[in-house]
Amino acid sequence: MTAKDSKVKEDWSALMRAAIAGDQVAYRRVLSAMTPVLRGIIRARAGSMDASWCEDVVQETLLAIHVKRATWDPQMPLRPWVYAIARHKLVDAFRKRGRAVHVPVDDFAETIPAEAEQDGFEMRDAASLIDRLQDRDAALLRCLAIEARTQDECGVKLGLAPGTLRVALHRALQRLAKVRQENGL
Amino acid sequence: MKTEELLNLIASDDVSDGPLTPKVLGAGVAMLAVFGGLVLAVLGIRPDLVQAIMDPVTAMKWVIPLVLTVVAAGAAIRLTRPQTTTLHFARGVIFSILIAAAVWWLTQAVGLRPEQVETRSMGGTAMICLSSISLISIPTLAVVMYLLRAGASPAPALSGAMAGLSVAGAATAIYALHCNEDTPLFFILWYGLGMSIVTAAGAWAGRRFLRW
Repeated sequence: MTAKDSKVKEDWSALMRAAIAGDQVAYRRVLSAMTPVLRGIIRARAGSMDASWCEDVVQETLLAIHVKRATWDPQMPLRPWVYAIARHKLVDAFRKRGRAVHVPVDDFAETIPAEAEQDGFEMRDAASLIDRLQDRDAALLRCLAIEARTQDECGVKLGLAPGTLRVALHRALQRLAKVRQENGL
Repeated sequence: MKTEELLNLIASDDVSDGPLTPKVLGAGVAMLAVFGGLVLAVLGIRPDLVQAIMDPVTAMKWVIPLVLTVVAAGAAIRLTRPQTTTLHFARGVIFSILIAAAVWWLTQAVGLRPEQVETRSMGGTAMICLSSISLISIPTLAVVMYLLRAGASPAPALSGAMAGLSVAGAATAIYALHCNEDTPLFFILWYGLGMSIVTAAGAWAGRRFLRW
């Protein structure tokens, strides 16, 4: 391992610690940094699955990283925890396709990061999964993500006070993770 | 939803859940206190409790379940983290206790006539024993499992089993404050069975509810 590698690994953990302490910029940065790495890991192990399937697994993994972040011990490096989540989501995705697979985790660090291609990677039934959420959750997620409005705008549109909206978003993401897990890709 | 959109969504959620362990332990202890207290309020505590605890054989009615409680709780908490793979210590302790208890039961049975083994093993309170352990355990386990859903278990059924064993051990130790059947032939069998039932219930619930 080179000095540069170990510095990068340090950075993920440090950014995540800052994120947990409430630094949203650090959180966005660590998520952006891990996304291509996760994409590389998942594509390398996806076998005959297509890129859109892989991107769904990347999203599942990111969502799990988000809703399960309290299960990371800040004393420990972040990467093994991230890889464990990616591995779990990959196995789960294969299982839903009726394929039992053994996904070794040891060689995850060796995978080359992959950038998303220009287009064509929307989750095939994103809309239907959001629709399975309660109306309020669905409206909030659609407003923030698909209409790409700010929290303030969505708060006004949906009649939610800023504090209420923050908690509603938190709960909605937890339920989205659950719905996606239960309903498959 | 594009991955970029999902990232924006995730990054804008700044509500943090806080550590899971204190919540689970706190709720578990509180539920055990309530339901254990209820059962003891109905059944009463054995009057010769102090002498019973002093007796090394009878003391095993608390020592074994409480050791299992602590070890299984440790395992269940470790299993809230996705990268946990090895539980050598917990596995070693639990299987050693299982084997030692079975051997102990057999040594107690050796030399007795079959009717004697049956009379002593069955005792007079087997059903009270099983129902008390279940009554204390099940509500506690339900709350613990509900909270454990926030974890990220690499092995949901095992997580549930460990949570079940931990709760059942504590429930058994509480019930032992009432129970005055002190022959190992009785308590190894029925305490063991009570804890096994709750552990199995935990494994089932884990498989069902701790997937993520």
